[in-house]
Amino acid sequence: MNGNGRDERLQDYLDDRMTPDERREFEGLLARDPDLAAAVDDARALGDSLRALDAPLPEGFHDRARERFDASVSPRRRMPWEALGLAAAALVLGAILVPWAMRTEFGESERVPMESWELQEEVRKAPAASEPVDRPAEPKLERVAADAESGADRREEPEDSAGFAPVPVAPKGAVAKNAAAPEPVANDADHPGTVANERFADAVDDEGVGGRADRVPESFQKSAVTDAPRRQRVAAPLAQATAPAPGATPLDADHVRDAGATATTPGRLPDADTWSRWIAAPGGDALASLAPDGDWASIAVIAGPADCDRVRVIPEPPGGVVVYVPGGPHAGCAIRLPDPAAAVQVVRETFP
Amino acid sequence: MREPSDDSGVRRIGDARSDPDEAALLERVRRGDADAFDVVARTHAPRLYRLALHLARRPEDAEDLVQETLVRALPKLGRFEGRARLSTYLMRALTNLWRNRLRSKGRSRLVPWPEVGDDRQQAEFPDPAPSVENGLLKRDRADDVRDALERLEPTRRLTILLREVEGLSYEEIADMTDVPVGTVRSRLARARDDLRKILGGRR
Repeated sequence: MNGNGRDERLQDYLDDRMTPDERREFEGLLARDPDLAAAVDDARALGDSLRALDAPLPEGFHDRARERFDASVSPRRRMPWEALGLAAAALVLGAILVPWAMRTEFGESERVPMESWELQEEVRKAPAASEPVDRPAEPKLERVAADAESGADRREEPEDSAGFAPVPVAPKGAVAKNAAAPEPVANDADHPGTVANERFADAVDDEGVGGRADRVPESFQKSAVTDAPRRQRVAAPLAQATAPAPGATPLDADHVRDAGATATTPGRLPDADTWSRWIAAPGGDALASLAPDGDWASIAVIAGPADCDRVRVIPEPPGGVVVYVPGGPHAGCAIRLPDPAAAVQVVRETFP
Repeated sequence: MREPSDDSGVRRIGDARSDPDEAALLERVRRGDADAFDVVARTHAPRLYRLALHLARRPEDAEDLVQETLVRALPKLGRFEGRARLSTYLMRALTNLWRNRLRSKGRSRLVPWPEVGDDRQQAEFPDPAPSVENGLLKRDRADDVRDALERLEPTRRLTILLREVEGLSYEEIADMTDVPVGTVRSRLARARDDLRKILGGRR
C-alpha cells in the first residue's frame, strides 16, 4: 500500500475513523508491512510528544485575571436606580441633542431614517455623495445574497485559503490613511484590556459557540436579508437607540450607555463641538482626541466593550474600523471611516 | 450547527441538564461575582492556556488571549443558552479570538504561510537543530516539537492541537473552526506530514 491511499488509511486508523472491518483489514496490513507499522508508531509518538508539552500557567495569572474581570464588570455592578437614572439621562440627551446636532451640522436632508432592514438596504444601495476614486466596490452583500440564492456553500473554501473567509482588503489609499491615522487602541499585549479592531470577533458575541468568527460581517448581512424575521434580529439606528425601535428589546442596564448617534457624514467633518454632542455623555471630551483628523471621519458611540462587536456600519466601508476606546465612564466604540463624504448608517444589533 | 444528541453524555450549560453547581457559578459570574469567576477560571484556564501558548507562542500573548476569553466569554453565557460543553465553548471563543488577532495582523490572510521547506519558512522559523548551542546543549524532544509546531501553517497547527492535544473529534473541530470535516481531515494530514518532515520521522 503506497501513496495517498496509505496515508489516508493510516490517518483514519490513528484517529479511529474506521469501521471494525476496515480496522481488522488494516491491522492485518500492519502485521505484514514493517514500514507501515513504523509509520504508525511514529505518528503515535508524535501525538504523545504533543500531549506531553507542558504549559504551566504563569505565576500570578489568576490574580491578574481576576483584576481584569473586576475591571470589566464594574459597569454592570451599578445599582438599578443608577441604571435607570442613566437611561433617563440618555433618553433626554438623545431626544434633544442628536436631532439638533444632525440638523445644525449636516442638514436634515442627509439623514436617512431607518425603520427596517429594507430601508437600510436602500441606504446601502444609494450612491454616496462623492465616491473616492480608489474605493473598491462593495460586493459582499451581493455575493452573500447570491450565494444564498444559488445555494452555494461558502464553507467549502479551499484549504489553501488559510481557512479564513474572504475579508475586505482596503485599497492602498485607505490602508495608507489607516496607517497614518493615530490608533486610539493598540491590539497588543501593551493594552491587554482593550479590544481593537476586532469587529469580526464573535468569539464572545451572544451566540458564543454558534458564532462564526471569521464571517460575522457576512453572516450578519446575510441574516439581515434572509433571516431577520426568524432570528428576530433588530438593528436599531443609534439615533433611536434611546427609544427602542419596534420589536427591539427595551433598553436595560446594559444598553443605557448606547446613547450614540446616527452617523451621516455628508462631505464635512464634525467639529469638536459636534463631536462632543455626538458622544452625548457628560465629559465626553475624553473622546475628543479621536476627533477627525485629516480626511477621516470619526463617530463615537457610548457603549461597553462587548457592544462594539454589535455596532455595524451600513454599508460597511472599506477600511472602516470599530474600536473600543477605554476610559472609564467615557469609554465607547469609536467608528472611523476612511471616506468622510460617504453617507453611512450606524446601527446596533440587538437580540430580542 | 450540530448539536450533541441527548444521549451523547455531553453536558450542557444553562438548561435543566446542566450541572446545577456549574450553572449557579455561571449565573454568579454573569452578575459580576469575581469569586465565581475565579473558580471557573481556575478550572478552565490551564487547558486554555496550553492551547493558547501553542497558538500564540509568546507567553504574554497566551495569557492575554486566555484572560480576554474568560473575561469576555463567561459573562455572555446567559445568552448562550447552552449548546455545548463549557470547555468547548471557551476553546472556541479562544480560537476565534486568536484567529481574529492573527488576521488583524494581516499575516495569514495577506501573506500565505510558507510551506515547510519553503525558503521563506526557513528564514522565518530557522531549523534550530544545526546551531552551535544545540550542539553543545542537547535539545530535548519537547523543544524540537515546540519548534516544529511553530513552523506549521496556523490553521494546521490549530487543527492538530485540537485533535491530538485536546482530543476533539473531526466533527467538533469542524464545528469549532467552521470548515467541513473533509478540510479538517486534510489539514490534519498535512500537519502530520509537515511535522514528520520537520522532525525527521519515517514515512
